[in-house]
Amino acid sequence: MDLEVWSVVLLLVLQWLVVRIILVVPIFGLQHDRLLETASARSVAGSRKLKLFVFLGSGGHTGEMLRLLENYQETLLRPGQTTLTVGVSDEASLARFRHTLGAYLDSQQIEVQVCRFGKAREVGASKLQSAKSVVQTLAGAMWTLTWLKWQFVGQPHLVLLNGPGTCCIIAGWLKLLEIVTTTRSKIVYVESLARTSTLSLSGKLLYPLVDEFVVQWSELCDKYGRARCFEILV
Amino acid sequence: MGRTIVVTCGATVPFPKLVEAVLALEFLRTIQQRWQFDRLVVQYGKEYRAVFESQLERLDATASTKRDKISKALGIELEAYGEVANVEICGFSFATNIQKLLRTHADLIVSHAGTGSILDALRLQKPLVVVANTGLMDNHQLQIAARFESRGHLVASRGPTTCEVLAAVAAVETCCLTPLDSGKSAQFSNLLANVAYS
Repeated sequence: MDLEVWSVVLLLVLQWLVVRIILVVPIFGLQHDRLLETASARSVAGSRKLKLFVFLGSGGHTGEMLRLLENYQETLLRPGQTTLTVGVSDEASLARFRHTLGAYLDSQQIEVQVCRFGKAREVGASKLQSAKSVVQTLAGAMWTLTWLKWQFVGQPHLVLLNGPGTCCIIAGWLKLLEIVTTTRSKIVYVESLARTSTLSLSGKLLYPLVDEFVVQWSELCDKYGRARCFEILV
Repeated sequence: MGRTIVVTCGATVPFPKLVEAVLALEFLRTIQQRWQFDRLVVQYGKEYRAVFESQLERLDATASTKRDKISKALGIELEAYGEVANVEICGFSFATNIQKLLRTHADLIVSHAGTGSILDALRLQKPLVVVANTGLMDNHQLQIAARFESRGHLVASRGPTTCEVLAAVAAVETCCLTPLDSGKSAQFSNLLANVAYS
C-alpha cells in the first residue's frame, strides 16, 4: 500500500517535471515570438527598475561583453533604473570593466554589485586539486546564483552571457531553478564574433537551453534554426 | 607632414614574426620613402621588451634622448625608442589607453587578427592591415581576417613576412576600405527590452 502511494507520488512529480521541462526549455518551441517588435512593454517599463546580470570571462569574451554594454546602454543601463550585477572570475576583467564603464555607471547612478566566481581549473593544478576546485567552484556558483535568482523574482530582469565556460554552469543552474520553482530565467546568449562558421563549445551546450540565442555572422543563422542574427553587435 | 603607423600585437601572447617583419630595414625604408610614414609605434605585448630592444640595437638605431618627450606626446609610457632610416621607432608592451593612441595618432594600423584589436581599429575608422597570428592554439584569426576582408573593411596580409605586410600596406594605401556599421541594432535592442520586461 505504502509503496503504491509513493510510486504514484513519484510518477506525478516526474510528470510535472517533464511538463515543466517542455514548457521551459526553449528548444521545444513553446515560446511566444513577438520579441523584435518595438516593445510596448518598454513604455510600461518606464518606472520599473531593471536587474541585469552579466558575466565577464577573460580576454576577448570580456572585451565583447563590455562593447555590448556600451552599445546597448540605452536599453541595458538606464540612469537610476538599473541594478547591474557583474560576475567575474578574473581580476583583470574587473579592472577593464571599471576602466571602460566605471565613470559612466557612477555618473548615471547605476548600482553595481560584483560577484566572484572561482575558476574551474587553474593551469598546472594536480588532478586532486582540480577535482577539489571544481567542486568548490560549482558549490560557490550555485549559492551565488540562487541568491541572485531570489533577487530577480517578480522584477524585470535579464541575464546576458557570451562564450566563457563558466556561462554553462550559470545558464544550467538558472534553468534548473526555473524548472523547479516555476519562475522565469530570461537568458540571452551572444556568440563570440570570432565564431564565423561553427559554434563554440559553450554555444553548442547552451543552444537548446537559453531563452534567446544570438549569433553575429549570418552563416551560423542558416545552420542553426533558433539562432537570431543582427549582424555585428560589438 | 609626418605620418604614423601603429602596430598592435595583442596584450597576452607575443607575435615575434610581426615585430620582426616591421623592424626590417626594408620595411622602414619603404614606408618612409613611398608613403611618408616617419613614425612606427609598436605595442609588442608582455615580456617582449628585451627582444625588442636587442632588435633595435641590431638595426643600429640611434639612441636618443627624445624618448620622454615622445612618450608625453603620445600619452603612452614608451619602453624603447630609436631612429632608423628617418623613421622614429617607439615600443611599449601594453597600455590600457591604447584606444586614445590609436584615435589621435594612428594614420594606419597594422594589427594581429584578434577580434578586439580589429574592432578597436575599425570602430575608429582607421585604415587597417591585419596579420593572422597562426602560431596560437585553437584560434580563429585566419577566418575572422578573411571574413572582414571579404566585406572590404580591412586588408589581410597573406603572411607575417616583411614583403607580405608591405604588399598589404600598399593595398590599403591605394584602395578604399568600407567603414564598419556601428554595431547598434534597433532589433537587438528591442529583443533585449522585450525579454527583460516581458
